[in-house]
Amino acid sequence: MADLGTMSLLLALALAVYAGVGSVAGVKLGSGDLVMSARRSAYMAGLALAVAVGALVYAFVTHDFSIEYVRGHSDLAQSQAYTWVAMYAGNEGSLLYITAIFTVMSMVAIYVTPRRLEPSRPYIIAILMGISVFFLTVLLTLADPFAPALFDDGRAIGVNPLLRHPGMFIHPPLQMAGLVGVAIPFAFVGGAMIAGQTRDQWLDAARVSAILVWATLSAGLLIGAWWAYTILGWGGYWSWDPIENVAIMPWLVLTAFIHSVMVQKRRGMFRMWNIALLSMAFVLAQFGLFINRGGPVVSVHSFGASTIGSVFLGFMLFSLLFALVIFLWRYPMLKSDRPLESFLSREASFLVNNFLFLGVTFVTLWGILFPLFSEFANNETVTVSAPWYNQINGPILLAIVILMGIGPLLPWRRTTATSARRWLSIPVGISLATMALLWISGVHELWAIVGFGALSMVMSAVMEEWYRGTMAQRRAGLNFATGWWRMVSGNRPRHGGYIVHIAIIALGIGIIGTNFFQQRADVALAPGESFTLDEYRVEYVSTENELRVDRISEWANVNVYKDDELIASLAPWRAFYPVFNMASVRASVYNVPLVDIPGLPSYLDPGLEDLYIVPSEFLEDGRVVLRISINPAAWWLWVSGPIFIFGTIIALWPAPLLERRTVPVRTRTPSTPQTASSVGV
Amino acid sequence: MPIALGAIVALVSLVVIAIPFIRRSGAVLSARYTSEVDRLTSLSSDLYERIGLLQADHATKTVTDEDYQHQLLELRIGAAETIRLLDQLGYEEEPQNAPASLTRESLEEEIAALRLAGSRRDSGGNRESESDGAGMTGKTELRDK
Repeated sequence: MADLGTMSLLLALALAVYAGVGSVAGVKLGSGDLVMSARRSAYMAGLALAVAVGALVYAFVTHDFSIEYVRGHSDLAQSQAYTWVAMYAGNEGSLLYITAIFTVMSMVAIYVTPRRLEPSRPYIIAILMGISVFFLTVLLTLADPFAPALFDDGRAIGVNPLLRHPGMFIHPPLQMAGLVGVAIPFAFVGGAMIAGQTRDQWLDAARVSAILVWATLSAGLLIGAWWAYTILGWGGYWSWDPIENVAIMPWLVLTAFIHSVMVQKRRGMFRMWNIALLSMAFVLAQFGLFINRGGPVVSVHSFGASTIGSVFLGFMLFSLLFALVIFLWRYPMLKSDRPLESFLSREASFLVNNFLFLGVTFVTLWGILFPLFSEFANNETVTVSAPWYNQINGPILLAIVILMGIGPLLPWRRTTATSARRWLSIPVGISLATMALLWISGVHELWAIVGFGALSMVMSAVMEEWYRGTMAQRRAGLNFATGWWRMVSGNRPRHGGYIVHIAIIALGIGIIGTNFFQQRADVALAPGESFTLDEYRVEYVSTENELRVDRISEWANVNVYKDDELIASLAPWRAFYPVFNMASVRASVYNVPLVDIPGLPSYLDPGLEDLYIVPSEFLEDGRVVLRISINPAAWWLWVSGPIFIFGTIIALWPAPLLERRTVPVRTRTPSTPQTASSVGV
Repeated sequence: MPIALGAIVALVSLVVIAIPFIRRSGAVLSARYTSEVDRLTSLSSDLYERIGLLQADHATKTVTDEDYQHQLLELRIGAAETIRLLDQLGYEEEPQNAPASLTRESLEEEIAALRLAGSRRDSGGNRESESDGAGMTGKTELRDK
C-alpha cells in the first residue's frame, strides 16, 4: 500500500502542477482546449489524493506496521473504529488529510464556479492548485505518511489516548477542512482580481463559499469545545490555547466578512474592505497551519515534534505578499459605488461590527505572538493565559453582542433620531427590564447582568423584526406561520443570519453561566462517603476496574441526590496508558433540567445546569479524588450547534423553484455583436 | 497489485486530461460577445435580487419610504439600462429571479415610453405623454444618465 500511496501522491503533484500552469498558459495562448484539459487535471488530482487517503486507511485497517506512520499511530488493541482518527492523528497523516480535503473542496469550487466568473476560472484554478502543490511537495519531501518503518518488530504505539473520543471523528476533520478551506473564497477573489473582474462578479461565489467554510469552522470549534469539556477534566471548554486561538482568528475575520459582504451586495460599498478581509482570513489560516505544524508556540494540540514549521512560515509570508500585491495592483478599481452617508445607519453598524471583530482578532494574535517577542527580545519566557484574553476580549465581545441588538434595526443609508427611538425603544426597554429583574432576583455579578441584558436585547430585536415582517405578510391575508415563513423566504440570508444570532444567544447564555456562576470542589472520598455542593449530595459508592492490553481503566460509581432524592447514578472514568505514560479521563455529566419534558431523555431537556464529575485520581487507600463542578447553563452551549446549523442552511438555501420565473427565450435575429463601450455605456 | 492500481489511476487521469485535445474543439477563449452577455445578464440578475431584497426591507419598514423610492428608482434605472444593452446585443432571455412586479415586459414598456417621449421631444418640443405617470421620473433620469 505504501507504493500505491506514494504513486498517488506523485501523480497528484504532477496533475496539480499541470492544472495550475496549464490554466494560465491556456489563457495566455488563447487555447480553450488547454484550459479545459487543465481543469480536468485539477479534478483528477482530487481523485489521486482520494486514492492516497484510501491507501493509508487500508494500511491502518490491515495493521501494516511496515509503514512508520501506521506503526506510530495504531496498535492491535485499539478499536477498528479509531482507524479513521488514527489516519489524521499525527503530522504526516493530518497533512495528507488536509491536502486531500482541500483538493477535493477545490474540485467542487472549480466545478461550481458561476458562469459570470468564467474569465477568472483559470486563475482560480491556478491559485487553488498552487496551494495543493505546496502541500503535496511538503508531503513528498518532509512529511511522507508512507515512509517505511525504521524497524518492524510487529508492535505499534497506538493512537494518542486524548484522541480516543467520539468528538475526534468530527472535530479535527471539520477544523482542518475549515482552516484550509479559507483559501477557497480567497481564490475566487484573487482569481477575479487577476482576471480584471474587479466589480462584484466574485461576490456571490465568495460569500457562499465563505459561509460554508465559516460554518465548517464553527462546527469544528464547537465540537472541539465539547471534546475538551468531557475529556480534559478541568470542567471548561475553551482555554485560549494558541491552537484554539489560531483556529478562531480566521473564523472571526470571516464573521466580519459575512456581515460586511451584505453591504456590498445591497449598497455596492466596502468592496475594497471585503477583499482585505478575505485576504486577512487566508493569511491567518496559513498562520494557523504554521503554528500547528511545529511552530514555535507550545500547545496540547500542536504537532510539537514536527520540523516543518519554517516551511509553513515561508508559505504564509508568500501568501501575505501575494494577497498584498494583487490588492495593491487592483486598488484603483475597487472603489465603492457610494460613500457612507451617515454613521447612524445599518452600513455603519456593520463597519463598527467589523472593527470589533478585528479588534478581538488582533488581541488574540498579540496574545500568541507576545511570548515569542518577549523571548526573542528579553530572553524571558512569558505565558499569556485565559484571564488576560477574558479581560481584554470579554468587553469587545460584549460590545459585539450589543451591536447585534442594534444593527439589524437600523435602516440602510441613514437613521433619524425619531426612527432610531422608535425601533430601539422595545429592545432597549426589554434589556433594561432583564437587568433589573436579575438584580432584584439576587444576581449581583455586574458583567453577567450586562451580558444577559445584551443577549435579551438581541433576542427582542430579532423578535421585533420578525413580528413586523410577519404582520406585513398578514396584511396580505396570510396566517401567522405562513406569513413568517414567507418573510424568511423573501430574504433568506438575513433571516438565516437572525437564526444564527439566536444560536449566539444560546452560546452567550452558556458562556456567561459557566464563567460567572460555576461552583467547583476537589474532594477525596472513601466508599460510602458523601460531599455536598450547593444542593447536590454526591455519594461515592465503589470503584470498578478493568485491565486491558493498552490501558488500566477505573470507574468511580457515584450517586447524586437532590433533596435526599436520588436523581442520577454516574460512573466517571479514568484510564492510564503505560505506553504513553499518560492518563485520560472521561467526565460524567448530568444535565439538571430547567423544564422536565416528559418522554425526552434528560440531556435533551432544556438545561438549568450541568453536574460535572471527573475522577482526578484513585488513591491506594481506596479513596478517590473527585472534581465536582456545577456548570450553570452549560447545556445552552451545545444546543447552539443545531440552531446555528439550521440558520446557516436557511441563509444558504437557494431560492425556491416556485419563486423563480422562467420565460422562454424569444427568437430574434441577433444584431451585430457589440460591447458595452460601443453602445454608449 | 497496488502498483497496477496506481498505474490504472495514472492512465485514467491521462485519458481524462487528453480528451479536450483529442476532441479538438478548437475553443477560443475570451469570446467578447459571450462574456459581455454574461456580464449583463448577471448584472441584471443582481439588480433584480437587490430589488427583491429592498422590497422585503420596505415591507418590514427597515427602509424609510423616501429611501425606498430613491433606491428602487436607482435599481430600476439600472435594470432598464441593462435590458437596453442586452437588447442591442440581440439577447432577450428573462433573468430567472425577476420579481413579479418588475418583469422585463414592464421595463420594456417603460423604455418604449421613454423612447416615444424622447422622440416627441425631439420632434415637437418638450411635450410629455400624459400616460407616463409616476414612472416617468425614472425614465427621465435614465435618459439623462
